[in-house]
Amino acid sequence: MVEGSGRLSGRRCLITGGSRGLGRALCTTFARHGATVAFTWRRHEAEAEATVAACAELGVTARGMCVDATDNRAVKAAVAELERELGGVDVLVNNAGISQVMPFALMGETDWDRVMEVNLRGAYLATRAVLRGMIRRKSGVILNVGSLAGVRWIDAPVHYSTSKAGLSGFTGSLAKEVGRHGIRVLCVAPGLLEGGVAGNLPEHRMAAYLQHCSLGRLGAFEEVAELAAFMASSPNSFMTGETIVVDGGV
Amino acid sequence: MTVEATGRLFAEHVYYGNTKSICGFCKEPVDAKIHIRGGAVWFDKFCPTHGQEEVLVSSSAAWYLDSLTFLAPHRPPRKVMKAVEKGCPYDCGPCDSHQQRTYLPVIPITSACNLDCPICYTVNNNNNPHMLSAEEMRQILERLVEHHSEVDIINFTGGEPTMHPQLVEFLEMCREVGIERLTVSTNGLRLLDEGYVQRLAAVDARVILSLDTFDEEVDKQLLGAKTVKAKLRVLDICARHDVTVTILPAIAAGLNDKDVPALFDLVMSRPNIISLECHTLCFTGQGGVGFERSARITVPDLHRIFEAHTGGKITSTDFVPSPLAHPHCYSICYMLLLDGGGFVPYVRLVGRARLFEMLEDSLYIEPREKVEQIFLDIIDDMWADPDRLEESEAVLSTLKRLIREMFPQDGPPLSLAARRKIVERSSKAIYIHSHMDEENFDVARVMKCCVGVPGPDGTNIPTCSYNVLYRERDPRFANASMLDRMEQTRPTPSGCSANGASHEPE
Amino acid sequence: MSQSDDVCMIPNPEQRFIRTPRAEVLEVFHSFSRSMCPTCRKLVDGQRIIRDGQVILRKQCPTCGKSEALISSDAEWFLRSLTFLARGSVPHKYSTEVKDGCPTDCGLCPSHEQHSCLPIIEITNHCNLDCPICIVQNRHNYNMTRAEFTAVVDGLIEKEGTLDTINISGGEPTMHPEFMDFLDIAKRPEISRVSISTNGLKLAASLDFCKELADRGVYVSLQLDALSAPELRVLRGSGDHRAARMRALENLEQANVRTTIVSTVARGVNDDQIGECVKLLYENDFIYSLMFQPAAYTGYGGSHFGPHDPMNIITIPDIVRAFEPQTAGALTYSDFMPLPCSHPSCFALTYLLKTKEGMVPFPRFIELEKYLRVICNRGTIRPDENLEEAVRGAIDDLWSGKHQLPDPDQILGTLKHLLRLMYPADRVLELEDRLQIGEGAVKTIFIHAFMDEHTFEVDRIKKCCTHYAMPDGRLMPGCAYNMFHRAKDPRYQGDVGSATIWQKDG
Repeated sequence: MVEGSGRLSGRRCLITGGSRGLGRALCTTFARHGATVAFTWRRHEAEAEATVAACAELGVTARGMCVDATDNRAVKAAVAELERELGGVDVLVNNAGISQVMPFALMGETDWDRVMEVNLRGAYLATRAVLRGMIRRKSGVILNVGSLAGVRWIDAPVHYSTSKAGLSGFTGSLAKEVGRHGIRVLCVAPGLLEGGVAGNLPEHRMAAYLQHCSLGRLGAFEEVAELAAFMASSPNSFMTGETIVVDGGV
Repeated sequence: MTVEATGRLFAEHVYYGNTKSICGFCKEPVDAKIHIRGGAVWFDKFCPTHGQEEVLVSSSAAWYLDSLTFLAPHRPPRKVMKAVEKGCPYDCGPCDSHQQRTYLPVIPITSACNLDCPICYTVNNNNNPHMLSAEEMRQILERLVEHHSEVDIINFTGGEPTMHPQLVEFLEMCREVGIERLTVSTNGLRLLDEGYVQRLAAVDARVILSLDTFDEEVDKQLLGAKTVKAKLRVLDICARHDVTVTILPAIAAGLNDKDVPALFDLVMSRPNIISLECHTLCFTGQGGVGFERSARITVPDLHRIFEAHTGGKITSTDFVPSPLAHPHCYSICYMLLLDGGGFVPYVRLVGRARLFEMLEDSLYIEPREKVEQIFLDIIDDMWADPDRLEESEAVLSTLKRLIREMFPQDGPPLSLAARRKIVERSSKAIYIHSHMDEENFDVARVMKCCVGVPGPDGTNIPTCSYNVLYRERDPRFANASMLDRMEQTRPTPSGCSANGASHEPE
Repeated sequence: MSQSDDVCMIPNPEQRFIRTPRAEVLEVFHSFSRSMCPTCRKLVDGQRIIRDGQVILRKQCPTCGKSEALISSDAEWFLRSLTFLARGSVPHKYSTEVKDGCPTDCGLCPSHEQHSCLPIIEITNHCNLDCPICIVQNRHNYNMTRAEFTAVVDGLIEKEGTLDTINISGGEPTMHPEFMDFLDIAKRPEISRVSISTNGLKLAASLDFCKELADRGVYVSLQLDALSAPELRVLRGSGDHRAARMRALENLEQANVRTTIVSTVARGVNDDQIGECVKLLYENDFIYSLMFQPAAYTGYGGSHFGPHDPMNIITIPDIVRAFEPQTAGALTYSDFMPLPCSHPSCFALTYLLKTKEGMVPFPRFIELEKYLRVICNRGTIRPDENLEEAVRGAIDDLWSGKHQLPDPDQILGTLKHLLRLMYPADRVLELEDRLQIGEGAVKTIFIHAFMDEHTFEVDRIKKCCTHYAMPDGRLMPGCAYNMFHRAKDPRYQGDVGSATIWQKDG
């Protein structure tokens, strides 16, 4: 485990979808780097508690909030609560996202809409909710979790890739708009991760991916979270609008 | 004979070609002219000692010739074990004439059997019966993997393999060596013991159950015993433990060909029964050699039965040969089960060439990458052109449901084995396998045979050669009294009709 | 498939073959073939293997080991040829019994599958050339007696009833002292056509000789492999063969003798002269057909021409493919068809209709099945009701625009003219006269492939229609005679006679 750097100390961070997987790693890594951590979760209560416990082990009291990322009122209420209790949100990590293995021909409207809702609309709602405060304070970081699937053409479900590519566009244009308020907007695009949504990939596709991956392996959540922590921290003061790929060199 | 204008006579038949067979009486090598007559195919054989012999090979010349339009490569055996001395099929094997490696090893682990079926095509011996030793099994496996590293299936038979106390142990040994598909050909009687079935289920062994009829009278004529009720109970037990089952009837014309529709329905109705494997009756071995020849049935006859029973939902063009064997040996139809009932043959979804290609790596389709790509192609195809097939919508919703099952959105991803099982259970197969006997023996088929009986020394004998020539010379199986019985029951040359039952003209 | 009552059947008219992707790159086992070890000449097991788009005959001899030989340079042609099925014709009488099996019991034995379309009578084994490519080994010690010849001719009529054609050959038949008398003996109402096979030296030397042939209505098959001296020297030996052949042609034309050109084609020697021979055919009215014979390396040629590479020989499809480049497209691959009357691997041909604008191959305007029926089981195309029906059918199709030909009116005009000539309104012509008219308007190109020790297949010999007639009444399928029986022919035993070879030393 990387030693805490303190680079995020004092920063109040909200991470959506923090109960498991990359979300949990973001919570614990940010905590290790000194952040004050709050996260949203929807269904997995036990995992959410486990995330809180993991942060507690690091000496950080993380706050888990049961919020549906696509529910505007719930999102706004959660942010309002954080504004009251912590005084504001410095870093928003739009991590909540889903995938669905579905060939395009069978991708009905319901399938499409669901993925777009959670992955794109969810990011838009959370971003709007925190931006007011960030603009008032003239500081803040929005960090979107995209995917290699949105940057390069790899074998991934079409709606998933579209939504992740959409996040890159969202990142770039929002950065332009709010840059004058000193707010940075960034996107981190991980490749295939151990234990991630690619768990469903058939062996031969996995093998093909690994053949093209310079480091020849899947990434760990922590490796992405470390990069995310740096991207969100103040030393990274001149980078905005960028999508950074972290995939082991595909 | 028909006469043309010049007064010259035309022959009644068309001479298609010449192959090599063996005399039905002395098993010496003979020429076999291939004659097309009345829309059927016959072998016209001549033995200098026993004279002319005519045998029905196929009741449909169209099927016979159509099968020969399928071309797939062979892969010669890695190591030639026997020298060519007398010529095929006397030098097994493999000798230099053999053109295909083994894709399905068949291991007769015992000569004991608890039945004495009138149709039996092996030779059994219950007197101090042969039991394959664990050491021999180990050696066989070693050689198999050494010579044929792509072996992904193995079959245990006998006699009756469940009479061997170490069957389960052998199955485990195969698993350890990496063979994925383990099959046991059995009359099922021992499987009435539920504990035994559980042991088989634990090693994920597949049961190939001999079930020839539902009619007790016919059962007596074919198997010499009343086995139907017991076998149906065995099927229930297998279902309870989700053991994958294949139903294997040996079809005799005029006896249990009428049962084929019911057998088909049985296979379709139970999720754990994945295929129906019909064997055309084969007149060799301790029972077969004396069985009434009017029972001879050929592959296209079975096509017709399926066509009649399904009202054309399955036709003869929904079958393709196996690319690994000679095109006359296996006739294969795969069907996708549709949600809401019904099925559609894969040939209608992907065409004959594609199904033929799907079978080029293994005798039975394994749900690997090729299959995944085919599913995706079917989806795109159906979706883009839904009017081509009336079942398009049902196919698409079935495949969508399968995908959701294989790749659940919530919860951990399924294991490869679990996903494969979903794919396997989504389809049913009909295999028609026509073993040869000394009457319709065709050396060409033996040369491209991909099924064989391996020895601990690395030799391999193609199954039909083994059944017709080598088993009765094998002291572990043959015994004097049984061989004597066989000679008594073999029909005599003069007045012997090797013809099948009368057939509808083409 | 068409009705089984038809003489000819084409079960796979679109020639659809289904291959797995790997079949394009790996070997494909096609069928079994009982063949011959080229070293010890014993019959051995073999397989036909499709490899690199060609067909190889692979053999295993217990004594001499493995060998391979090319049997077709075009797998597509080979596969296609097997899809033309035709019923054989039955002779009125067989001369031998089936006793020991093929090919010991020649002939014909009742197991033979075809009558004698083309009987050959070798009246002498004297010859005035010693061609390196000769398919027999002349011993210069035998002339057939008058009595023998008469018996042979009588015997042929007895066995066949009527004969489209008989061929008189040798050695060099014109060297026989009673040659002209024999021609008279052979002139019988039952025999439509008598032809002689000759090297033409006598014809070159004497115009009167040619006139005598013309008077008797004899057809001449003139050996002419190439129009260029160097190639002729390689195939025929020293001497100015070119000049002699040209002189022979001049005399034949002047005497108006119906002539066939026979060209033996050897790989790397005269395989680029095919177009020249076609030109001869097209430009000369007295030349009514052309016969190409891919070289068979047996007899004298077997030991003196070569050694050759059995994997690099001319096969039928090589010649078929050579037409297009060598005739600037006047003839193409698709104009030719295998002839199923003998074994389809033995013969290929096309018929050409002579129109004002040039030669039009029949397959371009007549439907395949009708065409097959017209040419099957015959030595020549006969203007009988089959042809009439085919021609009328062609006329209808052409007129209604069914065939997309650039200039159907030419063909229509010619056909109508032909019909009017053959079936004049006011009287009925004799078949003989109709034949003559037909011949004037129709030319043929044949390709006839003989077998040698490398390419012999029992499959083919059973349907052979080219038979050597023995004085004792037996008929010997050609390649069986050359491979097995010629060396034992009692007529040729005895010391080799002295030979005078034309221009041997100068």
